[in-house]
This record gives sequence, C-alpha cells and structure tokens, in this order.
Amino acid sequence: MIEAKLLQITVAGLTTGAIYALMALGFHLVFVTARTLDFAYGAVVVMGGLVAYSLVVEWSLPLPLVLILVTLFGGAVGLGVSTAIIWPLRDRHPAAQVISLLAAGLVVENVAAVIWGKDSLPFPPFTSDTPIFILGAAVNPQSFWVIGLSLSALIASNLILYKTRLGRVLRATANDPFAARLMGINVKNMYGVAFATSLGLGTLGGTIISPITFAGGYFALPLTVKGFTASILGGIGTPFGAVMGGFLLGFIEAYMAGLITTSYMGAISMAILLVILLLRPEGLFSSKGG
Amino acid sequence: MRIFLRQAFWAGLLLAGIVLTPFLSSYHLNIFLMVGIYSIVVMGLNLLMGNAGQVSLGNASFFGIGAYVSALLTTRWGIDFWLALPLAAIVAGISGYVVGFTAIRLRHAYLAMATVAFGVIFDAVVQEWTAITGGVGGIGNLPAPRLMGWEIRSDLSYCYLVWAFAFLVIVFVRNIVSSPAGLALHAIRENEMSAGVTGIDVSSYKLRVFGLSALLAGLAGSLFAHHQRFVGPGSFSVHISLILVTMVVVGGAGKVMGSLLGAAVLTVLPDFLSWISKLPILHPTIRHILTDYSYQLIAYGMLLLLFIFFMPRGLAGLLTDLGRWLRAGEIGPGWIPRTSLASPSVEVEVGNTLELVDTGLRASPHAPDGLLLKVEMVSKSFGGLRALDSVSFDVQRGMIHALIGPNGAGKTTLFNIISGVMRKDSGEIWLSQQRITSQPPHQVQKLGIARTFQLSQPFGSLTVLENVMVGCGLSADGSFISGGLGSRNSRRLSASARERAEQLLEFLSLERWARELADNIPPGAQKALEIARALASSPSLILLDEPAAGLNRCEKEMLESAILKVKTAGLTVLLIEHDLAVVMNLSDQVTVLNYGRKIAEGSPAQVRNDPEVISAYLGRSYQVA
Repeated sequence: MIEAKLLQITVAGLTTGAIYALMALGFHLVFVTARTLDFAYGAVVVMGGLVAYSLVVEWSLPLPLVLILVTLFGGAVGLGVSTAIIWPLRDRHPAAQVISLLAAGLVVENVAAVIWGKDSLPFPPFTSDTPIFILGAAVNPQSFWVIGLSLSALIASNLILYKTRLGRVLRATANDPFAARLMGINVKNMYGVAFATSLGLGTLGGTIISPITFAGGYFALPLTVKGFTASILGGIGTPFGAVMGGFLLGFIEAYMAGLITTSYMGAISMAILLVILLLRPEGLFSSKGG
Repeated sequence: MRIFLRQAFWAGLLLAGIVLTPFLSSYHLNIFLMVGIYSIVVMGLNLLMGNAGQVSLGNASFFGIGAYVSALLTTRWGIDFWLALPLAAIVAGISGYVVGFTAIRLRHAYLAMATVAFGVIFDAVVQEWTAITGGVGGIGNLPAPRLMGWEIRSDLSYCYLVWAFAFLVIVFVRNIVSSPAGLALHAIRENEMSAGVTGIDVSSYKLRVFGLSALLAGLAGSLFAHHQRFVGPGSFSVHISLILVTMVVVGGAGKVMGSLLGAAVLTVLPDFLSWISKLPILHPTIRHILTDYSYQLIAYGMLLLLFIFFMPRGLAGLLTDLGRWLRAGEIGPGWIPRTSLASPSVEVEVGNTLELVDTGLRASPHAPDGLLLKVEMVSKSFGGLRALDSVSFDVQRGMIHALIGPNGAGKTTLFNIISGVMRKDSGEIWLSQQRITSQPPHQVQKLGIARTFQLSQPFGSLTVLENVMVGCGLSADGSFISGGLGSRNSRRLSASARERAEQLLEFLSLERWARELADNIPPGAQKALEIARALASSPSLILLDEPAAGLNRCEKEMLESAILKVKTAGLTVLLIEHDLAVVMNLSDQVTVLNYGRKIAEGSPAQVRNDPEVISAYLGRSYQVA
C-alpha cells in the first residue's frame, strides 16, 4: 500500500515538476540574455490557461490547434514585454525593470480577472479523467499528457538552443551582449526571442496543467516566485540546471504534501528559495564560478 | 532664503492641518488618518527603495508584524499601548534587519524575489498559525490608547495622534536624507562597488536601512491596529506591498515629499473614484469599472508603468520643477547660480593648504623603511583561465610604481584583489606589515588604499562635489540616529568634508564642475573626479587603473602633473597604464605582467630593453632584434 502511495506522489511530483521545469527554463532564457527576472511570468502563465479555456470550451477548437495558438499567444506577449518594457529601460537603474515587470504582471493578472472572473474554471481533460491504476496507484491520465508534452517542449527547446543558428546567436548574446553586437547580432531581437520563448513555454505549461489545477483563480506573484525558485534551485545559469531544479521542486512539494502536511504549502517553496539564495545562489546543478 | 521658504512651507502645511482637521467629516477624517499611517510606511520604504535603491516587496509584512505584535501585547498580556507601540516597532525593525541579510548577498531582481518570498511566508504564517494570529478571523477588541487618563477613541483625536507621529518621522527622515548617512545610501544606490572602495560599509548600511524601513512600517502597523481595533490578514499581503511600491514611485523616489504625495494620492484614489461613480449621469458599466477592485489594480499597474517611463521623479519631481519655474520667474533671468559665487580670482597655493596624506600614516613607526605594499604569490583563476599565477612584487613608499602588460595580463584583476572587490584563490597581500588579504573593500580603504576604475564609476546622480565628499570618509558608517536627529556633529562633519572636497576639486582643476551631476561632465573630467574621490580619504597608497585612457594630449599632460604632485605630497602610486610614454615619464619602478605571470621588473629603462618584455608586446620574432 505504501508503495502505491509513494508511486502516486512521485507521479504528482513529476507532473508539477514538469511545469516548473518549463517555467525554470523560461527564467533561464530571460536571465542569461536580458540579465533580469521576469516578474510578470506567473501572471502570463495563468492567463495562458484561461485563453486556452476559452478556445477549448467556448470556441470548441481542436486541442492541438489550441496548444499551438496558446504558445503563440505567450510568444506574442513576450515580444511585447521585451520591446515595450525591457529594451527601453535597459540603461536605467535595474530597479526600474523590476518594478515595470511587476506592474505588467499586475495588469495582466487583473485583466484576466476582469475577463474570466476571479474564480478558477474547470478545464476539460485532454482525454479522460478516469484514473489509470498502475501497481495499485491511481494516476490521473492528464499527468501523462503533462509529462509527455513538457518533455517534448523541453527537448525541442534544447534542440533549438544547441543545434540551430538562432540558438547559437542567442547563446552568443547571453555570453557577451557587447561582443555579440560587434559581430552584427541584433541584441534587441535576441531579447525578443528570449522573452517570446520563455513566455511561450509558460503559457503552454499553464494550459496543459489546467485540467488538473483548473484555469485561473490564482495569485500570480507566488507562481512567479515558484518558477524562479525552481530555476535557482538547479542553477539559473544553465538550461540543464534550471530544468532539473524544476523537477526537484515538484518532488519536494509533492513529498511534503503527501507525507507530512499540506498546511504551509505556499510557504515551502518560498523557504527553499530563501535558503538556496543565501547558501548556494549558483544552484545545485552548476559548478561554482565560470 | 530658500531654506526659509521651505521651512515656511512645511510650517504652513502643519498649521493648516491642525486648524482644518476638526472641520473634516468623520469619513474624510478616516481617509486623512489612513494617509498619515501609510505616509509613515512609505517614508520607510522610500528610504530603502528611493534612497538606497533596494526594492522590497516585504514592507507590508513589516507593517503586519507591527500590527500583530501590538495586538498580541495589548490583548493577551494587557500591556499598555504606549509600551506596545515601541515594542511592535522594534520587533518589526529586527525582522527587517534579518531580512536585510539577504540584501547583502543579493541585488536588484534577486533581492525583490527574496522579499516576495518573505511576504508570502508571512501571509502563510498569519493564516495557518491560528493559535497566535487567530487565522482568518484575526484578533479583535484592541484597546484604544490612553493619554493622561483620557482615551484616544474619536477619529479626530486619533487623527492628531497619527499625524503627530507622521510629523516626527518626516523630520527624522528628512534629516537622514541630508546627513552623511543619506549621502552614503545615495552612493550605494548609484554604484555599490564604488561605494565600497570609497570607504562605505555597504553591508552595514543595507542591514540598517532595512531595519529602519521595517521599524517605521512596524510603528505604522501598531497605529493602524489600534485605530481599526482589529487585525486580520487582508491588510498585509504581497499585493499591499506592491501598492506601497506604487506609492513610492508615483509620489517620487528618494523624496520625503514624494512619500507623502504617493500615500495621499493612492489612499484617496479609491474613495475619489467611488465618489465619482455615484454621479447620476454615469453609465452603470462605467460605475462598475470605477469601483471594481480588479480595475483598480489595473489602474495601479498602469500608473506604475506611466511614472517609470515618463515621470521617473514622480509627483514630487513635478512639484520641484514647478517651484523652480516659479522662483526663476520671480528672480529673473539674471539669477546667478551658487556655483559662481565663490570668487575665482583668488589664487590658492594648493601645495600649502591641501594635506593630501594623513601625517599619522606617513610617520607610522611599524613600517620598515621603504616597503609599503607587499604582494606575495597571489593567484586567481576564472574557470579554467589562470588570470594571475603566483604574482609577487613590492611597492616602495613614495614611489610611482607602474604595472604594465598586454591586454589580459591580469593587471585589473590584481587591482580588484588588492582593493577587496574580488577574492584571491591563494597568496597574501600586506600593507606596511599589516595583512589585508580578503578584507572587504571599505576596510581596505580605511587601512589606506584608495583606487580608481578603468571605466569611470562615479556616483552619477550625485554632484561632483558630493562624489568627493563621500570619499572624505564622512559617510563611512554614519549613524541614522544622529543623522535623523540632525545632530551638530553630523553637520560639522559635512562642513569639514565639503571644505576638503572643494580643495581637492581645485587641486584637479575640477572646481567649475563642482555642482554638476557626475553623469553630466565629460569623460576626462570623470577620470579626474575619480582621482579626487580617491585622494579624499588621505590614502597612503592610491591605485590608478588606466587613468590616461581616452584622454587627449592636453588632458594627459595635466594628469601627469597631477600624479607628480600627488607623489610630491608623499603618496605612493600604483599605476596601470597602456600609454607607455606616460609610464616612462612618470614611474620610478615598473612591473610587467603577461598571461598572469610577472615577466620583468625594474626601472623604466631596464624594462624597456628587456627581451622578454619586447617579445610580449611585439611578438616572438622581434626577440632577435
């Protein structure tokens, strides 16, 4: 019986971990290029789920199309944030970017609240919601969708980052924006690409998790901090570290909730964040320095 | 005259407040009172954010800590309000000090994330730890404060109470901003690394300003709790922190007036909108929009963006411009700025009046004759790259010692390690027999080493004069308390620092820029300014990192003569320079680095003819020649 419970918890950890991994990769991309943290991230992720809800429930569009559209929506928002906020403020005090992103997040979150209301909305499962029993453990089939789609998205991003010219240019910009500029790279465009990819991954994640958590009805800022916690836990400096941090955070949360207590759930990842920031800000999965 | 006008303005505002308050309706009294409470919180946050440049999204939590502590003390233990109030403020202040530790390691966006995390944890604790906080139900039946047997229960009397505190805080914070400590905060906001090498104890300031900011929030929290007579979780969430940040930005970062304006505008706004929404001509949809909380938060977000982009100085900045415009109209176009009031015709014999070196240091009995700085087997690697490989050399007292070598030789890395900006991997550094390895920058500066940077790093939004004043050491660890109380000592310090700074500016021919912002002066002048700032602390050794880079020939000549004057005054100079003409003209001793290793050392003439130096600069094939 205990094995079944552990398995169930592990799948739950893998499921939320996959979403955190998507967000963490998003944080990584924005951090290495624009050297900032996207405080509007959580709000856009929540809005992604809500947009998908409308496309599925009200417009009855086919699911694959919805997933593509919602990813593009996130990309568009990312492009907007990058051109309208990050680029114009690049030479101001770093606090100006932080506050502007917070403000953008506040606007996005409340625009969503005005359009879709403040309560969470039930999102239909991609296939069915009859639990599948594996070794006695009841597993929500949506979990497989989440894990499968997230892993595909992570692998696709990795291929883009390391196998294409765009990825090389993006990494060059991350390495040294000034030198990249001298090589004829349009750094402004690279900021755009980083933000678009980051928020595209986010809205996709916000959509595929919605059948489990419901869409909307969420306070976005803590979600932002969780995504950041994931990235910093593994190491925001490398894509591998960020993704591993995402899964790790998912497991920690799931085991805490499953085996110890569900109260203080909101505070757990925050406490992890403070500890990791103070003890090992470069993350668990990256070497010091470099 | 200006000071008098300003004081008259504040006195008038105070008088108007005292006289007009009794005429307010109970509804408006309540709003006015809340403006007072938020003003106190925002003044604290503004000191942290506007003056010191540290974004905090945890200040609503400090506000909450003050409220809950006060509520618990008075209801559970029956402690009197007048004791609970300071205790609440102190507990909040201590928690702020502790949160401040994150600010030592983290900067900007990271710090903001950490404070959000703190805020969310506070929210969770308040809601989950029901035994203490009462959970969602909160704590009720708080007693009203009593003063000399009389209960402060009515809105009017409580309003006076709140504003009495607010007024004290206004005076206190205004004094801090103009004190040496205020100057230090400003310097930290502008450039932390420069602040450190200029002698400012950055960590201590960050901790203390976090503590003070939280203390003020806690004070306001206690006042808030005893006004509501109830505390519950809703008033202290991260959302409220975000609104506090909005108040700072909209009002005007770094200005006390800004805190008051921001608190006033954003406290009144919701009530104002709901008043408008009652106008009968409005369409019901618009009426709904005006009162809906979500729309309100959208408006706050838009306001924030609007102000950050188009009015970064906030409403207070607008007011300052307006005042300047009015005054300029009154005085007329012939108004002479204060800069030119000092008569320029008087020749000052700089060498006589200016004591560049602290005589105490010069006559230090411990120092063996000659040796000032000893660098011993210092190594440093970045990843796989060995930037410094067991470098050793001595710098003799009173010399100009040049450190040369091709790009990437490790010269600046060595400067960074000596000045404490960077940590070494191994090796030791001694300054007149005192081990200074791995000391923080402000400590190294205190021991007598000042430095400049390759790319000038002035405090851009401080004036040239203020930049040098910071260097004079008056802000090294200025107390907020003596600054806030406007103590005579802190004013005297400022006056003597100003005098010394003016002399230094004259020494480096910078006096005509004295009242310009450091960002606005030409690059050559910025380089000279850095030297003036470094000299201000009366160092025994000054590290100059490529002072001649980017200067034209005339500026270079001025620089050379300034460096020689510095030497004549008894200082020791360690100089990184690529312009070999400058090096050959000035230096007594030259050390050559290449790929992190020392390859030659000696007099300029010796080094010039050293085959290894020639090949390092010109390539192997020249070695034969």
